[in-house]
Amino acid sequence: MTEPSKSPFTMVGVADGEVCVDDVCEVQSARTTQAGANPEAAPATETASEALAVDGL
Amino acid sequence: MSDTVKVDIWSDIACPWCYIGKRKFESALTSFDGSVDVEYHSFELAPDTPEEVSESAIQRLVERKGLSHAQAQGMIDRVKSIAESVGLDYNYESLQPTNTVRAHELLHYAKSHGRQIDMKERLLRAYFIEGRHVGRVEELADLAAEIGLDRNDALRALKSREFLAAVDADKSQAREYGIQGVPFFVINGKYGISGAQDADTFAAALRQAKDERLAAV
Repeated sequence: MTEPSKSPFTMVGVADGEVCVDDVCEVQSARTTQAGANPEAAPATETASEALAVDGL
Repeated sequence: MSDTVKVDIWSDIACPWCYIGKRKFESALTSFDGSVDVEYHSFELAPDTPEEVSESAIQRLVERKGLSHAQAQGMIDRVKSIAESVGLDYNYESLQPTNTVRAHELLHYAKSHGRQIDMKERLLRAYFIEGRHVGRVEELADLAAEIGLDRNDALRALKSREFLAAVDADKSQAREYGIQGVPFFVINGKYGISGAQDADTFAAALRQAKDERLAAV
């Protein structure tokens, strides 16, 4: 996960995969639409997020 | 220009997706026909966590997140299930929550001896599978010795905080990049991948980066 205004990178894959932020981790069922096949493409946005907090463990 | 693909990975030890993401990334490497240089960088998800934590993993979920015991157990079960799908047998019953800054310092120590990748794997396995305490310097020195590093020298580096500045530098770099969550992969300083994504995503990005390098030669 990045702060879009700061990120210097071309993002690949789903907007956010399974990622931990602060001390919270999320279980996401995310569907990759670009799958990194073309990293120049816009980041995928179709993410069905099932946010389940898991305490940094 | 080298055709080696550089991959910088920001991650923490106390981060279930970081270990799962590591496995998925490694899976991508097995199908990648090229040279890859991997470097791990420090990211602390919970820097305020004390070295000694009396609660169990599930107690911390219940008490800090206001969850029921059943909800907390359900979350842990889901993470364990996903970990199992990539061959990792997470053991939350024996997991010992702790502050991870010293473990990050040890990673930088290991990097200075060319052993960072091995140290990263050893620390993650120790934390999530073996129930080892990765916040205590004596235990960390043991883990260093277990991958063949000099235990006494590792202990000296940890006690003197020799690599704390390196950890802070990684954290500052992450802030400059706008990285808010981990794992976060940067490929050839150009492409960013957030989270433990599919191996196919990593593989495609590696191929793209390699092709660009070759085209530039």
